[in-house]
Amino acid sequence: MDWKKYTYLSQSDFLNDEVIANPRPLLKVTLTAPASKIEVMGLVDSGTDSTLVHSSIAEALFISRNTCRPAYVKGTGKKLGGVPGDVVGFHYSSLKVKYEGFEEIFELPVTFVDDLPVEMLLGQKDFFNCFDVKFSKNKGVFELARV
Amino acid sequence: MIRISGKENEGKWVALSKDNKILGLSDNLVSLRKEIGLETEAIYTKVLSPGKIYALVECII
Repeated sequence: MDWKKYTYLSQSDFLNDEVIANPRPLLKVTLTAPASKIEVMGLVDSGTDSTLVHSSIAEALFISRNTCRPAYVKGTGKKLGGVPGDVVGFHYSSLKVKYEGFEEIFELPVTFVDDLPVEMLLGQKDFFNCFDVKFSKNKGVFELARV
Repeated sequence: MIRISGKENEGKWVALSKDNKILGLSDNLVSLRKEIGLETEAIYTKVLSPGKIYALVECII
């Protein structure tokens, strides 16, 4: 199996807070819609069921929520800094997704969510079904291999 | 190198160059993309507060 290694990334590179930002398993992801494309950071998150994307990114990609099916997302709430309680989003049936280090382009259904704390969550249904993932937090790396 | 406060800018969108330099910062992603130019190579991310613990579990009904 061909494992690709990535470094846990921290926002400390551009933040000046005294508290060091927590390093996270973040992966560069290119999202392509018919009218535009954008590169964002996706958080590899085994606790998330599917692929969630911040709804501002839909706007940036010229995807209108009026043409999409509504979605309802339950989260851990604002107090934990997570998906805030019951929030509204919308399903988009097929977004082209390319992960850093892999040439393959995936066409995935995604849920755009208002008020997501991060720009993108890579969850079980679409990401973990396609990649084996090894987290080595103590070494500051994670590895991916295409299944 | 320009640095910003995560605590004061939590939730804002940041455009980063390939070497993690800040190209722009805004509350609005669409405005930020226009400001730095749609053709400019950038990675967009949201500022997280370093002092906060994030738990992102969810389920879709």
